[in-house]
Amino acid sequence: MRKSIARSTVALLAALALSQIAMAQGRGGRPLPPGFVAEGVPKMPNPPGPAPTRDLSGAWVGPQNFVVGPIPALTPAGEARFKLNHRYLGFDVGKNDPIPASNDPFITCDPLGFPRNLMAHAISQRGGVLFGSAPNRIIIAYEQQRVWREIWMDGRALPKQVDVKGAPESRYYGHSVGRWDGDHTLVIDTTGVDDRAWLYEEGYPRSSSALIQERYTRVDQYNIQFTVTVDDPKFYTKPFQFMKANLYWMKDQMFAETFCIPSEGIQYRDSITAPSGIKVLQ
Amino acid sequence: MKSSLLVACAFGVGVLTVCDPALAHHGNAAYEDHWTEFKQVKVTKFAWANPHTLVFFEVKDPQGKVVEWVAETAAPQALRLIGWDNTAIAPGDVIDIFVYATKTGNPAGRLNRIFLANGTVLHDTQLGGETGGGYRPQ
Repeated sequence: MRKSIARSTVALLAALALSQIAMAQGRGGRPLPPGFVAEGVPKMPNPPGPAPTRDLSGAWVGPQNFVVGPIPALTPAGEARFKLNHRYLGFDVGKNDPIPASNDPFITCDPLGFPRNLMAHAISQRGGVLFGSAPNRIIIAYEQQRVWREIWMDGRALPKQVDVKGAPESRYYGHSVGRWDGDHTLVIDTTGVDDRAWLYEEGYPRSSSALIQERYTRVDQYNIQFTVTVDDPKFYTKPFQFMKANLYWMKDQMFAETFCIPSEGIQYRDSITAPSGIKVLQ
Repeated sequence: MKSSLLVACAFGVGVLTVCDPALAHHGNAAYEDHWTEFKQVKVTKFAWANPHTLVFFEVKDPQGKVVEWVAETAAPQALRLIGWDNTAIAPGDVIDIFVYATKTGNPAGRLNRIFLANGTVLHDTQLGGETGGGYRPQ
């Protein structure tokens, strides 16, 4: 009974942590000081101007006000894959429960992959995302691991298959094409992701044949709202919205770098994870 | 909450344990729900690192043997919001440190807070409102 109450409480706290109400405050319930849209994210001094046409370029900070899921039922193949993924100490692990082993790829700084990388700064809400350009492409660069994605804007088709003869290889960040829907919404379709990466830290999988769609709507000069939907009939019984969140204009446009460095990951594993009784599965 | 009653109990020379809830963004099943205080211990290493920042320090056990402990706290991008940076602590610093120790008995745990010699207090990110402050400099 005590355990179930504790778990219910933890579940409630987790739900609150993911709610927009909770995110209106700083971490630990701290009220935001004047002049900040999120903890550590300064508000621009002037009211936002109108959104420019077909332009997301610049450095942004987020995700803020993020909501995940709900994640639908898995197919039998999805269930089988999900059972192979053992997340790192979840909130539902009670104080007196056995310590579960984990094979979260991030323990050893393996690539987060797409779309998990979009959640990399969900706790701090202040990760950097940079939209830039190159011929026929929009480039999206991420502070976490300094990785980038190429979004082809020249009308090419996505690969129909990957990792078969004559087809391209799967990639941790997939193959992406984009188009504008009106003047303010960039739609990106991605497939061909390397299925070794997880959908996110809970260990849900995504297959290399999943079609993942992002929609970035520039609401005004300083705000982007975005959603990510996943259509992966191999692993999930129906398409679903994986996440929605917003990005805010980075005031100083200073793009930070945040690395998970393998030697530091090993140091953490050897200094904390293993001495704490948490097994790391290979 | 029972664990917030701050029930103190002796643990050894210069070491005190006090009951208080520990929180982290992962579950905390690996750690005790009371903290242990180490007084006037020397920092041996400060790893400003992902996935979690680590503070290594030397502790003399009751037999006088020096044991190296390590306390994990949050990632740098979260610690910057509450006043830390990569110069916050340095090897050789003598500190008081409060740690939720691992249940295994190994010399490791989750940080609660650190008192530096100059009076500065460095908190873990999970301590809540009364410990706020420290926003990203402009």
